[in-house]
Amino acid sequence: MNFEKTNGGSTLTVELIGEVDSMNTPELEEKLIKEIDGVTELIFDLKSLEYISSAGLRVLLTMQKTMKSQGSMVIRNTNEEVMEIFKVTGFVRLLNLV
Amino acid sequence: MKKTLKAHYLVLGSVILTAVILISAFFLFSRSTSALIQDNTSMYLTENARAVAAIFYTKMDDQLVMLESQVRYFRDIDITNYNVMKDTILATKGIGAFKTIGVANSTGATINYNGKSSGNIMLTDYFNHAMSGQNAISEITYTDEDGDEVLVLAVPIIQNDIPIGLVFGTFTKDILNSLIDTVSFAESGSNLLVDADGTILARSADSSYIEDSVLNINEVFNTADVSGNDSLIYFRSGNTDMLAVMTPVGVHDWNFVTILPQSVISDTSSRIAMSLLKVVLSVAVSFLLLLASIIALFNQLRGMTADKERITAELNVATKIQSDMMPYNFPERDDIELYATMTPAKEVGGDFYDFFFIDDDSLAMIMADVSGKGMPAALFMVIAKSVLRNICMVERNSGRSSDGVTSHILGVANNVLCENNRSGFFVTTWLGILTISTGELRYTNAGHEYPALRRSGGNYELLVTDNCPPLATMEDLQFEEEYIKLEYGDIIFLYTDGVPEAKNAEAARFGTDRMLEILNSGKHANIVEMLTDMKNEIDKFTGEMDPFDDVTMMCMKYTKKS
Repeated sequence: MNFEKTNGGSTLTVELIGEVDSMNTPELEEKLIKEIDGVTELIFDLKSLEYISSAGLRVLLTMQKTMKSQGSMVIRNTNEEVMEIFKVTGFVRLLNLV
Repeated sequence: MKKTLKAHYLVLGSVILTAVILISAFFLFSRSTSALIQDNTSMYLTENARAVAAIFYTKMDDQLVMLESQVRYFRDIDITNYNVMKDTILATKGIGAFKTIGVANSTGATINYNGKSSGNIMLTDYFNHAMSGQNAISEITYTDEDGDEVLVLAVPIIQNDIPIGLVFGTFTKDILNSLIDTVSFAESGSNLLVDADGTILARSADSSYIEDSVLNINEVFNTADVSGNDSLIYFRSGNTDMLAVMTPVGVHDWNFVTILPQSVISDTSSRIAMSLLKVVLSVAVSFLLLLASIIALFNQLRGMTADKERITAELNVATKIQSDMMPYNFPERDDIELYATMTPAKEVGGDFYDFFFIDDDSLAMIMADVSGKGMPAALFMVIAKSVLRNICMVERNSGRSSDGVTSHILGVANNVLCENNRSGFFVTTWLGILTISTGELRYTNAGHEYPALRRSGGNYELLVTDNCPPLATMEDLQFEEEYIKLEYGDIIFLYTDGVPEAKNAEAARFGTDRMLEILNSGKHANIVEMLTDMKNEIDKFTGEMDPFDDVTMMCMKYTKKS
């Protein structure tokens, strides 16, 4: 996963790569909690994401709840496989996919 | 407990064994050391005695050579004339270590260089020996003109190949004693010169081991054998065990005797034994320290194992909670067949299935999966399951029409579960309520895997819907209910993501296609067989990999009432 901060730290772009499951979500969550202070725009870029488990979905949901109070969160470049997961899990209705 | 006990015996056993080994090693070693020291000491004493005897012999020889140098004054004079002999000796000076030097002619008449006479010596052994033409040392001591006990050395005066007299020198006991001192180098021992009968001719300054009053060595030796070869003699003097080494000096049958208390040997032995004891003790202490560290480590390990066991036990509790919550009394009716299985993963997940009759004609079926793992997920599962079942039962009495009942139930359950959900769990839930008499199936899919539906005579196909989000994700979610009408022979297969997402060692997933293939293989006689086969196929696929997620399946066949 790649973390990139722009706009003087107010925009955080997180690129998720490969598979996000319960093995690597603790690390993802830890990094996000560390970086999220002062961020008003959180962007998840999913162009290289192949799979996301319910543990990963939980992180997205938690971040969305966090960002609700301090700005916005969008999800970009969702590919077909991940979109299928979002559809089955109904997350397509929860997340702001652009 | 049994293992711990065994370990205690092992530790105790090794301590005792080590102690026994150390103690026996100590005694064996100290005994053999003692014997070795005794041997070595005896050998050393004998060697020393021999060396001292040889030096003594040389010294005596030196003294004889000195006397020989005096003989030259008398080779060309007529010593039968006493006055000539007297004038000549008076002109000489003393030489060597002698008390006095004198000369005697063939009559045995003597005159010393100090003008005194030693009387007639004709009857002495040394006179006879010297007059036979050889150097002589008196075999015994004689009392001289001053009353001193003296040993006499004599060399012949030879004129025309015939001994005509002799030059003699005397050694007092003091001189002999000092001679012994200068040649002895045995530490802390008493050195004696004894004649063939054991009479003490001379003794070293440190002769404390033999009383001065003892004149003959045989008085203290308990054995009569004081002659002959190098011999070790053990005897008691007073209260002390003594050791004597006796060696011939090469003069007459005299012997040189070194006497030591045996305690010198045993003292050395005990000194060595003491050092050995120190070594043994330090080995023992090191061993005990090592043992203590091992025990400490062992205890720590045991603590760690206990921790691990506790955690495992906790997980087992979670597994038990999960399993116990699942209904396993499957309905025995002629209008439906129902069967379900759940296999918890090593680290328990939050899967659950549920089925119950809301009333005689309404069967509720739930397949759900709490995100997350372990105890917290298991507890959340318990809550979710109770909430769902309770709301279903409440709804029965609400008088609401059947349409929209499942979406309504999930809506209420969602809000209940959203409260106090700080951990961010959510529950993907499929809830269906079948009206048995009509085959009407109303269901709502809240983010759960699409069930597979087999229409009678057809194939299993995924029941794809526009899924709602899972429960507990967000408050006030709106859920949408779907409706189908089942015909006799239709089968619905519900499952959690543990089925399609089961992973093998190559990180490949079991997949929905494989699942459908097995469902459609047509080789299963009934739904029980089908679920069992599905589980076997999953196990076959994952191989050595531990199942990562719970595998939960439920199957319901709608049959014609017979």
